Amino acid sequence: MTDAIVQGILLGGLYALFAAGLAIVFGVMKIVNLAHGDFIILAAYLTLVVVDLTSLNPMVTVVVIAAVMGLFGYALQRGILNFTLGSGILSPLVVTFGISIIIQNVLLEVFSADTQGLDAGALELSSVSLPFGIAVGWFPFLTFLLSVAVLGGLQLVIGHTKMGRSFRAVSDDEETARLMGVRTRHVFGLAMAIALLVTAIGGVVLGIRTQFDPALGPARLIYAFETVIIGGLGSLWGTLIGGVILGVAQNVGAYFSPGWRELAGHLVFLIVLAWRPSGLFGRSAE
Amino acid sequence: MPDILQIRGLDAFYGSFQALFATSLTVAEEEIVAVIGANGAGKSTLLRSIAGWLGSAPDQILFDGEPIGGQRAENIAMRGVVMVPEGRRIFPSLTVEENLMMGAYVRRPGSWDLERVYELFPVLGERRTTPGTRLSGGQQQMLAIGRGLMANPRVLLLDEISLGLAPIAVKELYRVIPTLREEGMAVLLVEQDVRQATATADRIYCLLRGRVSLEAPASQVDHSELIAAYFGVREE
Amino acid sequence: MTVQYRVELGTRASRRFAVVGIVGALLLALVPFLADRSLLVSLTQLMILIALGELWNLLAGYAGIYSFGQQAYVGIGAYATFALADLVGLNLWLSLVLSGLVAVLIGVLTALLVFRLHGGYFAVATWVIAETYRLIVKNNATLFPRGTPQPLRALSVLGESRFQMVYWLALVAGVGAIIGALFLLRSRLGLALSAIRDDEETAAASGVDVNRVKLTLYLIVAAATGLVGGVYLLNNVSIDPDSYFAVGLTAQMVIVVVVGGLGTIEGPILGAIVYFLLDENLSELGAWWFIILGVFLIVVMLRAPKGLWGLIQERTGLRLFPVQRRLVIEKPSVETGVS
Repeated sequence: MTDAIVQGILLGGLYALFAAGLAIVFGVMKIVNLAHGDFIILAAYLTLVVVDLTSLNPMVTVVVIAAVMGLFGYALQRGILNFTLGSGILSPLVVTFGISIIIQNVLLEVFSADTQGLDAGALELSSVSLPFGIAVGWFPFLTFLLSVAVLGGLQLVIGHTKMGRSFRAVSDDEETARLMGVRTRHVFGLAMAIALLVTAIGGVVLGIRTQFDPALGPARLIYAFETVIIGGLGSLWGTLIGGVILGVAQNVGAYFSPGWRELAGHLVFLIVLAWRPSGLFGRSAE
Repeated sequence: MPDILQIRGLDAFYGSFQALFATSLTVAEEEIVAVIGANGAGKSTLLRSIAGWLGSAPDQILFDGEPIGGQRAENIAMRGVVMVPEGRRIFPSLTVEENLMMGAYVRRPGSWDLERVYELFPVLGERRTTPGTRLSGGQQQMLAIGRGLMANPRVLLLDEISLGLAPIAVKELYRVIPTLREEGMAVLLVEQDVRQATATADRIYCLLRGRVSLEAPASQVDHSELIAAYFGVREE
Repeated sequence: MTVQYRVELGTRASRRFAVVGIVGALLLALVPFLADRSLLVSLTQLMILIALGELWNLLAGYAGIYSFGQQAYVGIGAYATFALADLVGLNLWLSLVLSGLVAVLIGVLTALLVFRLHGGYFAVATWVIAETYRLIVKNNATLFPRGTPQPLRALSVLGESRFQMVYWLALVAGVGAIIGALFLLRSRLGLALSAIRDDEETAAASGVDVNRVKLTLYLIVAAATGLVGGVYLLNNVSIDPDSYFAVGLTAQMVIVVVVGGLGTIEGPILGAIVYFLLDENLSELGAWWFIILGVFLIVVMLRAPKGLWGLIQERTGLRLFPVQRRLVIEKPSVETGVS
């Protein structure tokens, strides 16, 4: 059982990465991107292609994949999603839903429904010893550290750069931000780019951790969403804790019965929703 | 001095409701112009149209002789027409200093920077790391004005800065306005407080139900004419 | 001189259409005598789709409730029917009716949890809750024994004529949803909904209890969706959690309403027919059909947000199911008389 909990904590790092992207998009553009999970899977497939072409270790390609997905995010926002804004909630929901359908089926058409995997080689097999006699695989441990690093980087960008300030200002009051010369269409593009960049890192990690196929997207969207709600929309560290809680809940559930994995996560989510809808560390109620 | 801002026959609509009817006014360089009028007369609508929050036809608003009507708010700000919006609209997620830095987002040339703003409003310097909305009403208004100044505007639009403030705070704010003129800046302000407006401005306009009902140098405003223009009733 | 006026609901076109509609419905009722089984099953599915579309439209088009979890009620209605009829042994029709009740109760529970959220977060939360119900059923050995789909044995009570009976039931559901929506929107509740749709704040200021109106509508739709879920089971015979709690069911509702026309009664009918025809002809394309569907959905949402019926309405001003009241002033009558 301890092992399940430790694994859950490490899984939480990955979920926090998934959630961060979703939270940025919602904070700045006020959109829930229903294709978010599918972007995670898309990143995994992209990595597959690059690895097949170059025979590099997937972890090495992370930088390229993240950059490509970032550019794709900017283009997507300015090319399509910006046009869903300003006319109510339904348009972004339906359009991102359409994008989700398209991505899943393009992947299905190109790669078939067979499950795929990414091989990180020696990294995946070796283990590291932690205090209290706990041994964990190198790879899960490394990716947890990576998640913390990425979240820390995000926190720095949002808290201390001009772009980050513009994200926060636009998130607070888009109209007034424009009075200061903020070109909101561009800033929205940047926000989506950053979100997909971070999400892509999660996607590469996912591809190495588990077998993936085109239909896995929606479940990841749900995990990202649950993490955001549990942690609250206030801080990225809250998101990390939210992810850890979800990861532990799922692993503990699976420990008792494999069919209970997702359900345990949902139940914890519902409890937090019932008890504290703004999340454990949220600033304001949704 | 030449006109820096010309409004010519401006119509403004909220959906199908017309708020301004062929409104015309001018602001010269280094001039302070006040627009007064009752609630709903269209004063804020006027500033919102100039700042780009409301659409208009290009020729209805001229800045330095160039049509800017209907342009996007961010482009208008970049030209140097900067609005301090009604209700302050301070960013809650940003500290005092960060709010001021957002004002400088547009990066226009000029001498206004953090140091100068803190000189003008020392209390802001003292509380520079406080979240913006945790200041008192008067301090938030200073912050909002400081934020506007950080953009180095050529025309500063002030929308009801006295709203919700104690008379002392209002007096303090208005002491600052004339000094801005010395920088070569023009100021167009909208104000509920008629006395303060006539005391500070060079010229005033009065709006009544979306139309200009009076235009005069501030020193020559006749009391009964003002009543008539403000309320639309004639004193017998 | 008195001015006579009256308040009118119908238009000339709608009155003519009412006649056409009644005749059409009667003709549709005769279909089972003419069509073969597979066509009958398909048309039954179309009727179910129309019903589900009308219901989702009520939520989204009038109350601003965008639920991506309506599949929960389809599944609950179906499973309640299955459990009551096969496991408990009640009469099939009674089970079907009671399943609507079960759906309402689950609706209350769901609403309690999920109404704290709004907009996009609300949408995903409803989806998560539907998933929760799916997994509860999936892990339940009584409802989903040995992980295999279960047939509805109680269906045998209908004998050979079950395809016709299920078709008629679905026809009643489809027509019922349309008429039900019409009467709902013309009622006091409907007036409140239209006010909320136009401007929620002003509606609240005018004395509309917005939360209660939304909750009432949500529960009505939950019950109706549950009933339709039962009919869905009758048409498909076998039940399993993954099919009946699939988000794809809500996806179909969304597509039908957005393509057909949000916020009108005519819209979902048109949307369902269009989607049905496209699906019949293009589904053999496999993944490409879905890609086309996704693109089509995006294009409609961005370029024709009022849907196909919205376009038609704009061009022709046609209202077949009008819900707005109009003031008609008749010629003033002149009183003659010598006092």
